[in-house]
Amino acid sequence: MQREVIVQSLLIVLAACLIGAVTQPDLILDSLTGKLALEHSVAAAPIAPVINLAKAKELFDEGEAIFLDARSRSAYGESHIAGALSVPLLDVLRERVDLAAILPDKDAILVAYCSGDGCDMAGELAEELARQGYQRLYVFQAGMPAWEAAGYPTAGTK
Amino acid sequence: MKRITDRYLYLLIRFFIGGLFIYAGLGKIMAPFEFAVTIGSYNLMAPFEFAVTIGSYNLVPTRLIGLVAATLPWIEVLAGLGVILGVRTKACSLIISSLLAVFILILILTYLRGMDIDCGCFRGVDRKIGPLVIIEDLLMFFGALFIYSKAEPS
Repeated sequence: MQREVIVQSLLIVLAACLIGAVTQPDLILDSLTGKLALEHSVAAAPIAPVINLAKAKELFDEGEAIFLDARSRSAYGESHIAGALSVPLLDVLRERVDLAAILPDKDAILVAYCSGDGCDMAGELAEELARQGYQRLYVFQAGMPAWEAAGYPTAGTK
Repeated sequence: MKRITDRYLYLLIRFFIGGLFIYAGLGKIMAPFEFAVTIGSYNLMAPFEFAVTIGSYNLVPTRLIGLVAATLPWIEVLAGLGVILGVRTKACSLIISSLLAVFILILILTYLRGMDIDCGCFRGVDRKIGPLVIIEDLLMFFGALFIYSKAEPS
């Protein structure tokens, strides 16, 4: 009887797969040919995994990661994660920042952050860093508001 | 009396879990590319940090994402329908509990890896992966097992 149930389950799964294949051939073909990764940024390994506050603090405590503040220099001046470097996204895009000079090690663990959910600058900074050959990237999306709310170490004039 | 209560509970759980799976599946069917991006964001192929880097974008796992995105929602919908309608209920609840077991494992691993991403469980409901989502899936898993235990083989 158990065997019958398993066979029925497999047949239902097979039927569902067939329906999926018939209704979404483009999705499957784009994926199999690699087009999905190129045109829709779908990848099994995103450029920069988005990490939560606990993971960011863990990396901070380990002391090996370099935190990068993607906000403006004035926002950084007021308050930033202790030890973070100021790497404003706009300055990077306008090539006003010499990344090779401030981050000579392309294998360094880099954590980009900005002003929390709704702020895209950290993600864009990570993309730019990836384009320039940095490979060990994280995005701490919850960013400065979450860090400050948790009472973790900060520096700045505020 | 107890039998009647049991029967209503069984029906209620069947409708609840079946309904949730149909809802979850339909949402993904309506936005397949969005769902493919969600699967990618789980970064499942890099359990060891940075083991998979940008250069390996075109490896097989990435190419299978589309296949999963196209078929998984239909498995959810068919299994959900079966559970609600009472058609092959035992087999459908087995599918649902198996799917939930895999989802729970992935959610726990992703949470432990400190990733801050949307669960992608239901379209239009933005929820970050966390203990609450894992507990919800665990409750559904036990619900699906309950259906499996009560269903008559057909």
